Amino acid sequence: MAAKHMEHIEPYSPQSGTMIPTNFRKFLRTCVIWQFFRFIAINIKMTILILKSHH
Amino acid sequence: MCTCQGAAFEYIFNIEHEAKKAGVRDNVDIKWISNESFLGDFGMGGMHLNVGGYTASSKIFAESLYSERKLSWIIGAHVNKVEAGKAHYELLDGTMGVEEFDFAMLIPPFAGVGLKAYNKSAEDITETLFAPNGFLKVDANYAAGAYENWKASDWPRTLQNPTYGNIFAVGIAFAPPHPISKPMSSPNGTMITPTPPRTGMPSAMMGKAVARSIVDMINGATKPTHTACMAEMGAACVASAGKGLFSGTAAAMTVYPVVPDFEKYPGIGRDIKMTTGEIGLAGHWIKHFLHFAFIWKAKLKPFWTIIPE
Ligand SMILES: Cc1cc2nc3c(=O)[nH]c(=O)nc-3n(C[C@H](O)[C@H](O)[C@H](O)COP(=O)(O)OP(=O)(O)OC[C@H]3O[C@@H](n4cnc5c(N)ncnc54)[C@H](O)[C@@H]3O)c2cc1C
Repeated sequence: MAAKHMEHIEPYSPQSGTMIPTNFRKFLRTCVIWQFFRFIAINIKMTILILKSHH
Repeated sequence: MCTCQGAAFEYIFNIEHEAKKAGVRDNVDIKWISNESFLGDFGMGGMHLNVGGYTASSKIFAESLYSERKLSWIIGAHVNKVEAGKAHYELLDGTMGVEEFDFAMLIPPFAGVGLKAYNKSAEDITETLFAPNGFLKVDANYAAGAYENWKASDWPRTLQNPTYGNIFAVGIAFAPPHPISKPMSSPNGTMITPTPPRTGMPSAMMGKAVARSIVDMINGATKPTHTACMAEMGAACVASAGKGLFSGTAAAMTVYPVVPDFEKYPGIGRDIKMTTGEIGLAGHWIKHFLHFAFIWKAKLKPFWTIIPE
């Protein structure tokens, strides 16, 4: 099966030496339901960090 | 030695996003030229994240994102001359190169405003007050020397000038003891290394600590009573990678501490649980919300004090 998300990558180029997100991973990045939960999770993480940074 | 790599990151990804939206992405070739020794260094020696069962360097995530968005990169580059349509640069291996462009955005070198200072008897005290790069000297260890000797404790805590107790510098204005990233130079002796970023959150936290110390000193304290040290605080950073209520994305990152402490956290210098990053629409929403929240805070509107830095 051809990997559509890799079609723009030139073999042996610096770009071919890294990881490229799959189409599903890219879909999740703008999937409103999934991102709603990520929004909550990131806000919690940032709040903990802010609380830890204040003396 | 330019300022915040994050600003350049936002710029290049937003240009890419807009070009795609306008349907002309295939007509433009977009390239990132940076003095970082690796992509994803961001002037803070990069960062490590736990993802998918691995602890991986920000180099991998940065290269991944640039590759996915069809952006190429030239790393370890010092741009030494710009003429119409051409940027000349030197690389860490000492070789020279030229990049042709139709449109370019360059970030200027990071330096203080170049103020001159004089004491009561009109003697020039600029060198006592400011470091050679124009930033104000504070309670940092400026004699740390080589990278191998750097410690988290070199970083200032009270942000008070050691000679003049009534002078403080916060945010971008204070002179850091040294860079955060390991300094690199080319065989020709050209220093090619990014400057430590001083982003919004640490800048505001320093401002708050210094303001409180000043209040206490006015009320009789003999020395600063509050501290804000970049080696002891974290930073939350949201870097936009494209605008759009449903199509936008931004990289939402947390690092703790900003300046790595290799004694406390051997190997990677940071708390792996508190150092995180992900890209997505949620990051864009957060960035958009923060935009309004910070303007609200700056205008001291109701409940402004509960909005964090
Ligand atoms: C394009 C860009 C994007 C950024 N994005 C982010 C981001 O997404 N998140 C983040 O956390 N940080 C970001 N930053 C960094 C952030 O803006 C800075 O860290 C922060 O503004 C520093 O605050 P400061 O008060 O130290 O300096 P500044 O905000 O620069 O304030 C210094 C002030 O001093 C004034 N001044 C200068 N000289 C004089 C003089 N001689 N007399 C009187 N006044 C003078 C200036 O006009 C200015 O108002 C970004 C920076 C840039 C450039």
